[in-house]
Amino acid sequence: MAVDEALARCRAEGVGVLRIYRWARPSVSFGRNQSARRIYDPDAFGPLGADVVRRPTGGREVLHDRELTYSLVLPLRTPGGLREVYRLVNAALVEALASLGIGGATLAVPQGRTPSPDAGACFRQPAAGEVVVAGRKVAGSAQVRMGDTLLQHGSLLLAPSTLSLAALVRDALPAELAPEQEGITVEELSGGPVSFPRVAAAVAAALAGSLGGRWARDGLTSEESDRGRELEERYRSPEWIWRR
Amino acid sequence: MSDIPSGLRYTEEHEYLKPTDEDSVFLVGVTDYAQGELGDVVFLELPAAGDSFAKGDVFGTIEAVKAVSDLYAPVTGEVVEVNTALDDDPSLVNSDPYGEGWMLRIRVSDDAGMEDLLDSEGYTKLIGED
Repeated sequence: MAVDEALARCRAEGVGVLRIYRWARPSVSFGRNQSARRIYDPDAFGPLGADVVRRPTGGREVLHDRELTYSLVLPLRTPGGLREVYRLVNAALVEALASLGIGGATLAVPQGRTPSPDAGACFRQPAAGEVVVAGRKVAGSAQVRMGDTLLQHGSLLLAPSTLSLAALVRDALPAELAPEQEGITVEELSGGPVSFPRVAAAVAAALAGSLGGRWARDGLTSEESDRGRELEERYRSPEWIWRR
Repeated sequence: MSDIPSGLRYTEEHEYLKPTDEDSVFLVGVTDYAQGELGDVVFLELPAAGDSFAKGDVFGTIEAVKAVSDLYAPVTGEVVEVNTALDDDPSLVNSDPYGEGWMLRIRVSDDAGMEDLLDSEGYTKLIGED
């Protein structure tokens, strides 16, 4: 999360950045404004070998495990603005899935009002424009505007998680608050194991094509690394993670 | 086309400043263009009455369609009232951004910087709807 924010904070004029990564261990990320304290037990994560973070972006909790995570940094004044970027990225993910031989992915049609950040786990209910297969969500994304920069990040589920959100909740949690991650995975859709580098290449190619411009592979600059280390302190602090 | 009333002042970050009956006291909210860009507003984090901000400070956050955005103080001043109706119904920002969807009533403590704000014409140009 700290590196994602550092990429946004250090963005050079006219430049966009796509970062693709995966997680060292199963981790839950809360949305920026989500009430997490009443549902999750802070002491339940460590014993299960799981981590917990809070994102700078909106939305609800995501269980990150066997997935591909992307973060995309663009000028806020990208033609069409926030919503067009959201649509372009999701359309690119549909295209990436198709290039991996997975058809049938579409963008969810709006179903009433957008759910609040406290309406249950992110993958439980697709929001308008998100990538679904037969009504089940395969990718979820969220955005934050930082000054003149847009940061969007999201998850593409590759295989079922080894962990259950239900194992991390407080004792005696009312049933209606119990979280459950209910998406569908690329592995289920393709009928067999998938290679992370292959999916990453497909996603990068589709996003670069969809967003246009010239893209080159590169590492973090020293400014981005330094800023990431500074921001890491806040992202690691219980005050930020458990702020609500 | 977005609704951009004349008589209001606007920031490049899409907040507005609307005069009230009281001298130096203004309503602050986000513009019709901003709410349309963000989509359904689901959550707002606003300061408390009595808090003070310098022009350009982050005074809160707004979350919509999973997009979070900081809110920037358009002027230097003190918050005299917060629109608590938004706690129960943040969608007022969508349905009536310049009316029931106002966020803060703010007393300007330093006029410096007021002249940097855009008028309706300047804001229309900024968002490319001229």
